[in-house]
Amino acid sequence: MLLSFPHMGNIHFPLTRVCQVLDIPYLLPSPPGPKALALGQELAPEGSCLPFLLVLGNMREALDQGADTILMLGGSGPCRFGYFVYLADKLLKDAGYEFQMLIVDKGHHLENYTFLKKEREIKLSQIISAVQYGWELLNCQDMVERMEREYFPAVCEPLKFKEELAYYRKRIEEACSRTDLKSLRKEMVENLENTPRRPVESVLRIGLVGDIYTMLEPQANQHIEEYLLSKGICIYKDMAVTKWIPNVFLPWRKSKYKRHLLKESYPYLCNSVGGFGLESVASTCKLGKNEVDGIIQLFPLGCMPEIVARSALNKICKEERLPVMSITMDQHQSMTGFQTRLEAFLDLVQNKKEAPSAS
Amino acid sequence: MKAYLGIDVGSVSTNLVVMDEEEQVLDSIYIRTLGQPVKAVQEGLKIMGQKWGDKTAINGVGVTGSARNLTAVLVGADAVKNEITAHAVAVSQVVPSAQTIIEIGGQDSKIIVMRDGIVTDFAMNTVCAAGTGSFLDQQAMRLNIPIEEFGELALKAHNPVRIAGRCAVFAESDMIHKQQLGHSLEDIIAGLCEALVRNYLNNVGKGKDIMPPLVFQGGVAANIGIKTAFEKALGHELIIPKYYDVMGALGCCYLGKKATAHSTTKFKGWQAANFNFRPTSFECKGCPNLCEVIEIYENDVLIARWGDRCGKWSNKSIKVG
Repeated sequence: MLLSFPHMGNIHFPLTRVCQVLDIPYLLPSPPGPKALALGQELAPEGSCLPFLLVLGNMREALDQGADTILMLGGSGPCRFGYFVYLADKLLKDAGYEFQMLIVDKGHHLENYTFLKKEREIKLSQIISAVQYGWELLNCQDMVERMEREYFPAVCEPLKFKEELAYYRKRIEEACSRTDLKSLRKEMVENLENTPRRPVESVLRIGLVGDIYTMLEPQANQHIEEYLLSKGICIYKDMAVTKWIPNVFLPWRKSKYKRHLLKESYPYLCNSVGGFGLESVASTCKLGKNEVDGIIQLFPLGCMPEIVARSALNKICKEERLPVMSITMDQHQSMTGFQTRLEAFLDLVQNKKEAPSAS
Repeated sequence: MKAYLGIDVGSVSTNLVVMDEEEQVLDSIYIRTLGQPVKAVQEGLKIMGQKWGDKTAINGVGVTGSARNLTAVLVGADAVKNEITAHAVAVSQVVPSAQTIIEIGGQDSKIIVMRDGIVTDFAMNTVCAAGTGSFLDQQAMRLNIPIEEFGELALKAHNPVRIAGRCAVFAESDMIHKQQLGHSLEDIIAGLCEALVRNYLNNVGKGKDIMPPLVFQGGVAANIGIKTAFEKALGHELIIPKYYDVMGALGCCYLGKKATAHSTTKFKGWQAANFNFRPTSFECKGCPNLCEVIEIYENDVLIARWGDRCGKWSNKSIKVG
C-alpha cells in the first residue's frame, strides 16, 4: 500500500505526520501548480472549477508515481452536488488507473477502518491517537498562520516577530506528541498575543471570504495573502480546516454549526446554498460588524454557491456600507489583472477610511 | 517650463499626455500598442520629445495600464498606479461633479462609482472580454469598415437586430447568421452596439448605483453608436470629456505631480526613446511553481527582473552586467 493525498494549503503536513505515526508509506504529490493543472485538465470535463482540476492533477501525479491508495478529506459534501470526489474517482478509473479511494467523510469511517486494518493491521486505538495528534498539529498550524495574518502588519518590530513565528513553526514541526503540542500552542498564543502592536485603527484590515480551496491554497488565490501582507494589511479569514473538519468527523456538531451560521448571516441568506456560500455570507456579516474595512470574496469560475453568496454580499455592501469586491479566479497565470483590481480596491478602502463621511 | 508626463500603456493603445504646472494639457497622443509595449512607449517618447523636449522640463512621471511595471522601468516613473485610480483621479479633476464613470478600453471595461470625488465602488470585467474595444475592433475589421465610421453607421439603423452579447465568440456567430439572413449592415452594427451595452450593464454594471452625471471615456467613447445605445438604456446623457481617450494618462500626470511634490523625478529623459530595451524570459526550475521570470535589459545592462513568486530573481542585484 502506498498512500497519497491531494494538497490543500498546509494540510499535507499533519497528514504526513499521521502517516508516519501509523507507519503507513505515503507519497506527497508536488504542490499544485502548472503541472497539476495540466494533468487535471486532460481528464476533467470542460468547465470544471480550478480546485477540481488541481485536486485531480495532484491525484493523477501521485498515481503516475506509483501510489495505489488516495486519501481525500471530504469531497462528498454539498460541493458539485456531492459528487466532487466520486467524479474524480470515476475519471481516474476510466483513464485506467487502479487504486483505492479512501474518503474521510460521514458514512465512510467504518469502511476506511476495515481497509487500514486489513492492509496495515492498524488498531482502532492507534488511529484515534494518531488522528488526535494530527488534529492538534493542524490547530497549531492554523494558529501560527492566523497570528501572522492578523498581527504581523501591525507589530512594532516586524523582524523580531518574524523570527518568533519561524521559531514556533520549527518547534511545531519538531513536537512529537499531542501534549507537547498543546502546551506549545498555549505558550505561543500567550507570547505572540502580547507582542507590542500599533493600534488596530492605524492599519488597514481586509477580510477574505470564499470557497475553502481558494481560501486555503495559495496557488488557487494568486498568493493574495502574501501580497496583502507585503502591503502592510491585516488579513482576517474565518475559513480554516480546523473549523470544517469537526463537522466531517462529528455529525452531531453539524446542526449546531449550521444554526450558528444562519444566525450570523441573517437576514441576508437564510438557507444553505451548497459549498461554502453560507459560510461566506456569515463570515462577511461577522467581519463587517467591527473588524474589517473591506471584504474580498474569491471564488473559482463557475462556483454556484459563491455566485449566490455574491448577491447577498452585494446587498451587505450597500446596506452596511462595507466595501466588498468579488473576484473570480481561473487559470490566469499573470498577476497583473488581479493586482490591478486589488490595488484599486485597497485605494478605495484607504480613501474611505480617511474620509468616512464621503460614502 | 515645468511639465508632467503621464503614460498609459494598455492592451490596444499607448497614450501619453504632457501637462504643465497649471494643470493644462499641452499635448496628448494615442498610439496603437500592437502587442509591443516597449516599442510603443519609445515611439511615444520620441514624438513627444521632438515636440516638447526643448520647451519643457519633465518634473514628474506617472504610469498606468496593464504594462505599467514594464513602462515604469523603461522611463523611470515616479508614480505607478492601477488604471482605476488613475481614471478616477483624472475625472475628479476634469469633471468634478461626476458620480459614475463608464470606461471601456481595449480589453477591459470598468465602472467607477464616485461620490464627492472619492471612489466608493468599482467593478471591472474579470474573465470575459465580450463588449470591449478589441471585440469592436475585430468586428469592424471583419466587416471591412474603418473603426472610426463604425458608430456613424449604427446611427443610420432603422431596426437594430438582437445579438447575443454575453460571449464575444457567440456574438460573432450570431452576427454572421443575421447577416446571412439578409439584415442590413447598419442594423447589425446597431444591434451589436446594443448587445455590448446590455452586456456591460448586466455584467460590470450589475448592482451598481448608476447616477448622473455620467462620464463615458476610454477608446470606445469615440463610438457614437455605443454612446447612443448607452443613453437609450440609461435615460441620461453621457458626458464625454475632451481627452476621453487618454484619461488614464492624464490621471497619471496628476499622480506624477503629487508623487514629486517633495522629491525630484526619476525620469530618464526623452533619450530613453533611443535606448535599446530588450526583454527576455525564462522559466525558473527552482521549485514546482515554475515561475516565468522576465528580464529587462537596457543597452545590454540588466535593469530589472520580475515574475518570480519567491523574490529569488527580483531581489538579485540588478546591477550585474
